[in-house]
Order: sequence, then structure tokens, then C-alpha cells
Amino acid sequence: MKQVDGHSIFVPIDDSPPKTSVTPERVELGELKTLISSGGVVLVDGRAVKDFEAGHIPGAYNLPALEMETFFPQFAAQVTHDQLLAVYCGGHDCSLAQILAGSLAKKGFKRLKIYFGGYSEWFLGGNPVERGSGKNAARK
Amino acid sequence: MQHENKLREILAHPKTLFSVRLLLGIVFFVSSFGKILDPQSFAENLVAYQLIPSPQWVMYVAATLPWVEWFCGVFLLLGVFTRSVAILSSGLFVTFIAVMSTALFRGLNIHCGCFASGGEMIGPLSLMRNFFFLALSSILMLSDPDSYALQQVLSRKRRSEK
Repeated sequence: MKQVDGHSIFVPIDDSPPKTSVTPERVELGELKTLISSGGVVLVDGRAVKDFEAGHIPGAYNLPALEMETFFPQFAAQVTHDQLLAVYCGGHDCSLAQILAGSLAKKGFKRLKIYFGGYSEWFLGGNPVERGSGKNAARK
Repeated sequence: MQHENKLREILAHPKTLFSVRLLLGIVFFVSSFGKILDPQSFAENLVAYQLIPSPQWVMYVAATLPWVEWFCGVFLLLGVFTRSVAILSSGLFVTFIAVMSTALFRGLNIHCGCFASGGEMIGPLSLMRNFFFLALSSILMLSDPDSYALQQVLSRKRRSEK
């Protein structure tokens, strides 16, 4: 209820996170590695669960872009809106990271970066990989 | 029995063998082209299958496999070493089927990497297509080269010169 010109009116309450028109920045492998080593980034893998479990960047959360609504509550319980997120998927051919970044921006996450090189560039660069469920939101 | 003989007759016909050789040649030639031009994307496709444990080996396969396909394509189109190339291509198709089947079995949702980067996802269709190509390749493997093949043309010419 809100008072306007002495009259009480109903104002719909919007308790959802603020909508943003965030354009995610691009992050390259070198910068990503620096961010990971400084602990200043949360990695989010947008691929399907099976693809994630077959191999992913160590420490990454799995939030399948095409099943966002199913897995988002578990993800949101572990990550806050002010954290820097680096979203990735399979590689340059993959559009899931962009889809996921768009969905996360709508959910109110403002600090977003997209790692377009994705899992394949990470792997081909000889970097360590993790297999199994890891921080898979689908399992929690 | 009569149908079987008729089918055998059709499959052994020079025009059938010529068509099969040409089709497979085009398939290999086209599929190799995008991969040769963009080996990095092909390497990414290979990574997605998660079968090759070392990045060095992925790059090695990404650099060599497209050229194997290219030579298969050129040799089949020309009709040179047809049976040997058919044996090699059958081996390739068996490998592709095995790799794709394991990916499907593991529930992976990845790009096929069959022709160029990106494109179709692996699925029953891509698997069926590889079985079809394996069948065509087997026909060439089990038959003598067709009379339009360069190796046959040259040997006919050599014989007529004697």
C-alpha cells in the first residue's frame, strides 16, 4: 500500500532481482587463468549435465543453459549477485554460453564475462580438467 | 534366390560401382575441405567427444585426419588404388560409427564434426549416414574397380599398346 495524493493505492510488489541490460564482456584464456588464480571469479559451465560430467574446468558450476529454470534455484543458493561470473560452454561453435549469460543477466547478475574459447580451448591449452559432477547444480 | 542374384548383378554393374565411387569421393573431398581450412575448429569438435586424453594427440588427429580424408576423396574420384582406398575408408567409417556410438551412449550433446565446424549434432541420423557410407565403401572393397576408373583406363591403354 502506498499513499499518493492522500489516497491509498495498491502498488504491485516486484521482489524479483532487478532486470538489467548487461552486455557481458569477453574474457580470454590468459585473463581467465589470472582471475581463477586470484579467486575472483565463479566459473559457470552452460553445457548439458552429461557433457559437463565428461570434463570441465576445475571448480566450475554446471548450469545447463537449456534447463536454466530447473537448475537455477540450486545455483542461486550458492552464488550471490555481486560475484563475477565467467560463463563458458564447449567452444567457439557453441552458443550456450551466450544464452546462459543472457538468462543470468535477466536474473540480475551484473558482473558477467563470457569465455568464448570454452572447454575445448582450455583443454587444448594443456590446462587441468576435472571429470565427474563437481559443483554440478543438478546434483545438489 | 532370384532377387539375390539380381541385387548382386546391380551392385556389380560398372555404372553402379562408378556412381558409388564418385559419391564416396565427393563425400570425403567435401568433408575434408572445411577441416583442412579450419583445423582448430575440428580440434574443438574432437575435444567435445572426450575420447582423446591428451591435447597434443587431439591436435595431431585434427591435423592429419582431414588430409587422409582428402586423399581418399581424390583417389576415389580419380579411380586410383580404389580397393585399397575402400579398405581404408571402411576402416574410417567403422571408427566414426564407434566414436559416435560411444558419445551417444554417454549422452553427450555435441556437434558431429562430420563435415565442417559447427553444423549438426550427433544423433541417429548422423549414425545412420555413416552406416550407409560404410555399406557403399564395402561394395567398392568387395568389387573389382569399375571400367571408368583411371587405373582401369590406363591398364587398357597399356594393353592396347602392346
